[in-house]
Amino acid sequence: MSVSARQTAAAVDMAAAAWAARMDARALTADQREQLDAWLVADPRHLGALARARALLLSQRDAATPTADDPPPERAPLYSRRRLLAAAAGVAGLAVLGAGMRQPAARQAYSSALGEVRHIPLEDGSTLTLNTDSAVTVAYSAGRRLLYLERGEAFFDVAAGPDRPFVIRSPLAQLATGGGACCARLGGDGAMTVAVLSGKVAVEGAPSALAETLDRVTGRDWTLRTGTHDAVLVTGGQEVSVRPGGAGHGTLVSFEPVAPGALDRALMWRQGRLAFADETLAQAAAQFARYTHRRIVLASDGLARRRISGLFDATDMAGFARAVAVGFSAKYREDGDSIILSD
Amino acid sequence: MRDIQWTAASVQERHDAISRPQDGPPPGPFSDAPFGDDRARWLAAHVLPHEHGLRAWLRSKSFLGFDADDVVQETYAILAAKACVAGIENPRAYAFQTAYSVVLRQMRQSRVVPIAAVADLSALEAVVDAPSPEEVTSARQELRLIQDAIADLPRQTRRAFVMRRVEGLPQQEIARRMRLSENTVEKHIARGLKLLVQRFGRGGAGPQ
Repeated sequence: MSVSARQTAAAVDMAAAAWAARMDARALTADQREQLDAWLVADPRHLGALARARALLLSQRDAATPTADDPPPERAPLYSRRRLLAAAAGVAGLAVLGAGMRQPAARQAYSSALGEVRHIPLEDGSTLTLNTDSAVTVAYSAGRRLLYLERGEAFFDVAAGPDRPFVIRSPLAQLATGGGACCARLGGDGAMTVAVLSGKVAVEGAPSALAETLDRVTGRDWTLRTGTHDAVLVTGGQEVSVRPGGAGHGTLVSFEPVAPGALDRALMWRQGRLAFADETLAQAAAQFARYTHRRIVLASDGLARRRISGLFDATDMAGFARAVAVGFSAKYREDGDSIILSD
Repeated sequence: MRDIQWTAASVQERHDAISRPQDGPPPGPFSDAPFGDDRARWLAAHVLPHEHGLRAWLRSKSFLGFDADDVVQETYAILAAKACVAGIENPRAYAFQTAYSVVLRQMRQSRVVPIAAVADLSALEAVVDAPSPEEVTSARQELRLIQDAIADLPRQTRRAFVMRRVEGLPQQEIARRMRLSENTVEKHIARGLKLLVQRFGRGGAGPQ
């Protein structure tokens, strides 16, 4: 870390004190705001030093104020209890930085019910498809197309926009692309899977709280601008998974190509279908369970290990179970929300 | 499933993929959440009182090679930046945890992490519960030194600073009472505040 490029903490403190005094004097002019913006973006410590200086200026009972059981210093009785009480009685409204609030990006939350698949066209020509029981918040701004995957699984068909990155955030990772198609799923085990159909998608750790803040405070693209996050590039036909770990970030656990056709099969849910190719009954039953409260109970391990291929209606668990019963000569029985298959 | 580490090798490719704009969007006016008076008062009431202890703890770990001042500044940045602080029940513990995460991140970036360091650092529980008697005593000593330093400021600076900070008068009102320009008052406030930001939490002595 070069000394010349990086100010000492003391120099940062001095600049922060000057800014705090200025902000306290009057609303900043547009020029001053721009200068402050540039200063804040230059180094994440600046925001902290400024917040601390403002706290020190606005705190009226701490560092420079004797406490009740502290005798006041003999040399200069600067502060009296009476003055303190007067100060506590009413503090005039203070000039706050900037009169106008930044127009926050319009946020639109979308969610799907259990068993529902929703197609949502977005303003830039991209489309969002929500799988069962999923939620995505869209927060587009001028500089980028930001979305939050809150729950479940979503398919993103991203219209090309190289100057306006399409960014998908989850608690585990952030995905960024200039165009293409990908599918992201937050699994019940807390892990996240990202499959890319086309285009290039950069997968990286979730942005730090500080980077997110600088985004919000400065209205600039700090999290993409820094480029210091470690990232992997995922291209069409590849899949990565990320599991929770680290300080609020995900850890990449696998990065592998997907067999031709497998991705298309996995994405049949967009048409409300589930496609299986030589998968176990247990795996298939788990897939159906995502779309309903009902459950398929496989009475024996032998049955659970039987393999199945085919295309089924995702919301027709009973139809699937009957087909299995016929194909494997198993017994079909319903008990409340359970469908029981036994040899 | 095999473990793969995040790799920095593809960062350039990533840039190519996203093809970032040459200039970001025009800077908007600031949202004032991190700089609002409410957040400043919350920091003043709940974090400043523990800064002395936090610095002492960080100093005791400084053999790990980080700069305690940098860590404190980043810690304040994160606390200022949080969308909401209402849910923080133990601000002292929260501030220590935040500083701990900042240190860990710095150590991770430095790539050379002494194995004993992480275990040593994570012994947080002992220090975050409440200030020790020694900490209270030395914080009190610090207050005295700072009071003395403020008393030693030039008369006009001291008056303006005390009116602002202790009596809570706005700068315009101070300018009126002292028959000074608002710019001059701002300079006095900045001067007093510079003294405070340098000495607070660092034992009250001036910079070495």
